[in-house]
Amino acid sequence: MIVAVAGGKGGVGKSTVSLNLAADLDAAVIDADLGMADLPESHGPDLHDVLAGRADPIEAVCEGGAVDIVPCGRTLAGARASDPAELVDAVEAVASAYETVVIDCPAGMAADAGLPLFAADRCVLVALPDAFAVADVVRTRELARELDAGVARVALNRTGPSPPTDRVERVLGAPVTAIPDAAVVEQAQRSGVPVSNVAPDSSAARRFEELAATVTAGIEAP
Amino acid sequence: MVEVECRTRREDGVTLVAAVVRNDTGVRRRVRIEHTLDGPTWPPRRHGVPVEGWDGNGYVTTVAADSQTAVGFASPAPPESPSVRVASDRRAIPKDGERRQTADATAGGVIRRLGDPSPPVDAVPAGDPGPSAADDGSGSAAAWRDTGDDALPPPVAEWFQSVASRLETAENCADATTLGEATDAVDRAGSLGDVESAVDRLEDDAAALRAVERRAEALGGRIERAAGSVPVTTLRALS
Repeated sequence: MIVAVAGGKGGVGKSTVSLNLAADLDAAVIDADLGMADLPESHGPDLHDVLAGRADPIEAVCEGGAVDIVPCGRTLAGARASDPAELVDAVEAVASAYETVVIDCPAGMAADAGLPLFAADRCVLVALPDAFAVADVVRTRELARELDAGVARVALNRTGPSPPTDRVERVLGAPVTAIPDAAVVEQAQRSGVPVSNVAPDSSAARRFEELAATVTAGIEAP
Repeated sequence: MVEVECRTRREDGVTLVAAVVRNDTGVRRRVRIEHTLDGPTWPPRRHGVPVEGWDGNGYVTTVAADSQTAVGFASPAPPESPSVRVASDRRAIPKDGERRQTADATAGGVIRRLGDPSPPVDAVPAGDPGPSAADDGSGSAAAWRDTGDDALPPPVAEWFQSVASRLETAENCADATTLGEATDAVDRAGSLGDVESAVDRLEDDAAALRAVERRAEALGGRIERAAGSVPVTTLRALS
């Protein structure tokens, strides 16, 4: 199964949701943000090397951390040398070896955001609980539908005590899991580990578990 | 049957081919147009990806009844007369759902529609150590290690890369044991002239590398000796 974690805007927490979702799904996570990578880097080959034909997708998977990661290079030269069209084959190669793959998508609506959705079976949309951020997600949802990546779930990230779950469900036409705004999530992400590693009993860790369970359960009717 | 009218002109060493495919029949025709040039073709591109219908040798398109369509491409090869021919021409029978399936359901199609996300070349800092120009994608995993030394000043990294690429050309040719491998190695280098010039320059490269090593070692030693002995605090007090 290939799950793309997408959302129109940058900084909404796609990388956080990707890392935590991958941990709960026992999946490999691919940092597909070719221009602004966010997941931890490694010293081995990365996605830039894979997309430029210099490394095999499987040997770019960095094992041994909390989550198996295909990191992404940080240089513009590396991003420019990458052939974005190769992403689809690379994702499929990793999926055939690791069964479940989570793709951390870049922001925006260009092909670098479209290709992970094209490769994916389903997607999780990440939104912040304000009207402006939700409008961006509506556009990404349309793109996901066109590219046949059904919306499995919306992760409403960094919510307060009374998240606007119903309203977002109505606007996006997909079920919502609210992830609370907790310092522990941010701390874990800064250390490059899922929140379940540092605070397994936190409500955020439980919400990520719930998110993973619903994503595996099947695509909900939009 | 469709009819093709073709115009070819040569400009600055490039052959430009423009053809009009005319369908005077009352039905839609599925047509494959192939070039007759002795060389590669450069198809029209959208967002850097050849437009839909193009493959290595030709272009497949559907021409509506009593209608016409245009085909154009470029090539470094000299013009022929005519430069294109109709390779196949049949009645187009749309199947149920065919349109949806063939509507660009490829990674290239996604890029064509949404735009190439690669940063523009102007955005890449000059001398940013990217992959070497000679890297044609057939390199092994070891290749990435050669380009990964971020501490090198860009011009030095660039020079190292050009030496590495000449060395790779020479090694590829030296490793070739069959005619096929040798041809591949020469093709990858560009031409026999490229191989010869790479090999000629390797001797100078070796001398230059040894000189760099000596100079780097001497400078490194001087830095180590000087770093601890500069009386910065005293100098600051005096200034």
